[in-house]
Amino acid sequence: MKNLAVYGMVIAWFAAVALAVIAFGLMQKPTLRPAQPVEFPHRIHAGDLGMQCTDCHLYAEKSIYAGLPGAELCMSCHEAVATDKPEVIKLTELYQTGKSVEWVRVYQSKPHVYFSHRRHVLSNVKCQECHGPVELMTTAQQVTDMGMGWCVQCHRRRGAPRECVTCHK
Amino acid sequence: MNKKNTLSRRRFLKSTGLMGAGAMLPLGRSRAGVILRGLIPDEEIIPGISYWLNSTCAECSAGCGVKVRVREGNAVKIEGNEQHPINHGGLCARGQSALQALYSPARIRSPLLRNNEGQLAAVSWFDAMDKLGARLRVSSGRNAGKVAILTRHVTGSLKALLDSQTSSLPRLKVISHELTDYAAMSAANKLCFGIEGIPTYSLDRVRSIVSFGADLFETWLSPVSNAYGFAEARHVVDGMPWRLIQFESHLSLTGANADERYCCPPGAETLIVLAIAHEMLKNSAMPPEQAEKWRRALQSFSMERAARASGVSVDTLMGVANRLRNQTPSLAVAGGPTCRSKYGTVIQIGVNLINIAAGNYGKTLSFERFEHAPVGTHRQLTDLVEEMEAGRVEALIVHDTNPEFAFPEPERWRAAVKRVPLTVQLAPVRDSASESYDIILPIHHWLERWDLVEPRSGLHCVQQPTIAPWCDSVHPGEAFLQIMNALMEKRPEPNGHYEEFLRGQWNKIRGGESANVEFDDFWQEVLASGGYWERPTARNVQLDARAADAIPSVELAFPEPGTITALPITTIRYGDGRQTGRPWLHEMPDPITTLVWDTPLLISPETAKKWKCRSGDMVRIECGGDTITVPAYVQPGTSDAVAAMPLGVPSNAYAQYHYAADSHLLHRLAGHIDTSSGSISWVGAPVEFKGVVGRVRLARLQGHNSQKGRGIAQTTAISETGQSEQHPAEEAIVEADLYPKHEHPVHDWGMVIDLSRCIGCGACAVACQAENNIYVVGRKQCLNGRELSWLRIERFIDRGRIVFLPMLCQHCEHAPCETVCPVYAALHSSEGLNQQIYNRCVGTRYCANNCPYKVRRFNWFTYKVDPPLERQFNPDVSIRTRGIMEKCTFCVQRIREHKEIAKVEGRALRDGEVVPACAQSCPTHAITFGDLNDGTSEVATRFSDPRGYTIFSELNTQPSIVYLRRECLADGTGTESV
Repeated sequence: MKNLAVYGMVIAWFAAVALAVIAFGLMQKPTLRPAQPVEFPHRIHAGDLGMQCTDCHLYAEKSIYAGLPGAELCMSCHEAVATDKPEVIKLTELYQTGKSVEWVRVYQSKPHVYFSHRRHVLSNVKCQECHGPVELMTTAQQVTDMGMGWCVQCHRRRGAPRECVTCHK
Repeated sequence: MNKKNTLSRRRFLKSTGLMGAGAMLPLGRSRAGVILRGLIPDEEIIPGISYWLNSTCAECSAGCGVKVRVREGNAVKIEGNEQHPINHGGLCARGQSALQALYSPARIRSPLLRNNEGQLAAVSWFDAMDKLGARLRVSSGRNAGKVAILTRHVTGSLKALLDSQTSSLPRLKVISHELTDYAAMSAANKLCFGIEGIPTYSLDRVRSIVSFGADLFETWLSPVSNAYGFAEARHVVDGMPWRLIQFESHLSLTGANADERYCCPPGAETLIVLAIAHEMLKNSAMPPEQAEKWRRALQSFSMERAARASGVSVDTLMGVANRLRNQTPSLAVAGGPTCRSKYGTVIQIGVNLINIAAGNYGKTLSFERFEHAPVGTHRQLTDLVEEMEAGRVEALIVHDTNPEFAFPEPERWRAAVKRVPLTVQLAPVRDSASESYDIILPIHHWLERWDLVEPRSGLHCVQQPTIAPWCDSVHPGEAFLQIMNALMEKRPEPNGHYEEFLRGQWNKIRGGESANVEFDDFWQEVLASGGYWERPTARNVQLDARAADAIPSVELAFPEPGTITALPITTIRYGDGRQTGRPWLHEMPDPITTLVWDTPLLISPETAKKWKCRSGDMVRIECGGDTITVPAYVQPGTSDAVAAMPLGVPSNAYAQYHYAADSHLLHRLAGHIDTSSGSISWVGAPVEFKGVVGRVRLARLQGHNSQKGRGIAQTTAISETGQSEQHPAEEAIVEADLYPKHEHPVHDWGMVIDLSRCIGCGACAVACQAENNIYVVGRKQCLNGRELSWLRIERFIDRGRIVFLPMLCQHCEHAPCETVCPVYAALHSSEGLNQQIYNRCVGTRYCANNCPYKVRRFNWFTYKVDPPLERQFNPDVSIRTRGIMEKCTFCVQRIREHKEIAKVEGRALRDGEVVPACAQSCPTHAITFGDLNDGTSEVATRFSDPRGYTIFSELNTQPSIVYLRRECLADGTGTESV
């Protein structure tokens, strides 16, 4: 009986540790779909309306950064369009108070990685190949970890350079 | 890293940059629109793209053209502007370090006002100007005292503004002051030619140059321009090798590069100059009665007397005179600390006479353009101090200069400042004197403002804002205007803002030669090229024989033989001492001593023997009535008659290292004045040795001078007729190889470094530090041998000649580091680069141990910079942390950038398109980089130059860097004693 209690306690201890580890791990795991200040529906813009990605991500063809739109850019349409939608009202408020929209990053490349949107877009890599079917999402959701292995398998498939210093800076 | 277009640089500039806090000033008013626009329209600025903005360096009076790389609203790199007529693309270490002043933690963040407790406290611009105005107005009665503005050397628009104010305000007295003024040259030119100004020197046309102490490559007039001319002239092949002859008392960088160097005690150069001038009169084309007058004035200055005083033989001096006469066009120059003596003007008259006799005017020096605008003299500064002491100065406004450092009697200056009721400082960065002012007004750094400067007359150079001012500062011109407003009852002219005045000034320049061009077009052109170059005005010189009267006939008073004279010297590292708060410069080894951080007292081996001391001994010396304790350093090449100490011991509040903060020799001068020019003599204070009191470790990067016969730095002898020595070609080592040969299908990057061109100035080392986010590790870690610099200048002696050699990763084909890395962090790329992958490195340090060149650097710690210095970091290069090995990458980020540009434009890379930071900054263009696969590239052609060799070829490392042997004249002399 005593043995059973000891075993029970040991098992309970290990279970507790395991749970704690799992819980901690879950907490650490980045949210794949972070909450955004404005619930922007990619589905409507890029899907239903068929807008181009570069209409809002202005620099994807020009710079290493794709660029995130500021409230001014949104308002160039939404001054007149869909002004009754709650999210657009939120946006208008932000704009009128002179605040910027603090978009939350979905993908964060590592600081030692050189990544150029321009190079990839100009090499005819579809945005969706890395960012997933954005036209079906509301706010953007992370679909890949963008780890080195993931990058390299595509570089290998496409015959893109696989020199270390191509990406490592 | 900001990806939002909402925060573009231009938006900042539009709202705050041009005006800063100007709008908040009393009398300020809102402005409609922007008066001066940048080259790239606001809406076209894209984050993630580098923009290069042309501007003009203000770190010394030379005014080199620069281009500043801007990324995401931060200025991250300064480089020389290739189109600029002064510096031709190079930029010295001090100029590049301007970024560390821009982002200095010691920047003045807001106006400071002394409160009732006597403390300086931050206030708003309105309060500061209100207080300033009230104080100035109180004192504006009929018997009001003077208002003095003491400014650094200003030219162009700021000078025009100050000039316009002084004419309308009799109370106002404006004095510009520079520690290294060239008053003696101006005074001598005034006496000789009636032209009060300094000519421009074209070293690139010279065939022989004799320099009496002038530190051509360190600070003298326009060092980058001089270095460029030197390198260009050396490479003219006309059967008569170029020759630089240097007479000096301490070993300068110029002396180290001289073909003949003669070490003489201070004072002797006066006699040498006058004796050579006397000699050259003999068969000059001068009118007889004029020549007779000069001969009479110079009759007591014979070669024999000069030889006796200098220890240089009569034959040698005759040889120098003959060379000046025959190897033409020649050039004689005088400068440096020993020519800042009480006979300074006499020396310059002698030099003018030599240049006239050799027919050099109009060829190697001319008054077509004037170098530097006139600067006030020491005498004017002393007059100001006297007036301050007498209580006649009501207010003192100090603009971007530190008289407490630059005035030889700091105690007297401090006492005089106390007598002035209102003292105001206009400065971007705090200095050691800041605490003594009543009001401190922060001004824009030169990288934050629009301006028009004119470093050489007719060269109108632009300064433009590269970042939005991050302190609550204003343009100095705006501050001056507001101060004038407070001084005058009625609104002063120009009324309005400085920027409008500035536009007016630019418009005036347009009005000259390009009056039919629209201002906007003119402005675009100015921004694209860095300025507007007016056509030079031809000016003939006519020697006025009355100048001969200035040559003293009495016996000249020189230090007694056997005494040791204190000599403050200017070095390439700290210049005149104003750039003392810059970590990059502290960690840049002095090319002569190879010391970092330290600036000890340099003594000759003979003096060391006499004092019974060694390098690193703390010696107590008595000098100028004061006893100071300083570390001694035995520097061969120093005259036995001097104890020299570089200016610019870190004295800034930001400098972490202070051991000798108040032991400048500059503050212990004998107080002699050159009566003709009004400048103070730097020589003459005797040094008395009082004993060794201790020891200190000096942070010296290079252990010894000997190459141990390994042929690292090599020379090739060229004869008087220009024939160069033949060297056997290096034999390729053919052996069975464990590894397959590297294939380079597309590019094969290589570098050629011409040691004949390298002068060892260290600009490349600082450029590398700036480009590659290399941390400054501090003096303590340097003493432990843990410096991080990827590129170092090695200083070796080969066949008695000093050779400077930039040492960096050789990107070996057979790299010893690659084969020992257990994790493949070091490996070869298909383009011939020796790659180092930081996040793969585990820090075994095997690679560094296996590298014969000692170019791999290990991060023993995670180093930090004081914010906001991190704004300077290059976003294209990783920041390394503890435990990571790093080394030169051949600036792979630049290769990547240009490959990308070429690809977007659908073309192949052009030769010379990829320029690493070191090659770009080099004032003498000693470094060539390019693709060896492209047979027509410059680097491929020079790779097989007969002067070429690789270092440690016997190890079969097969480096990608070829060095070209330094050409040395077979009969050259001078530096073998070092």
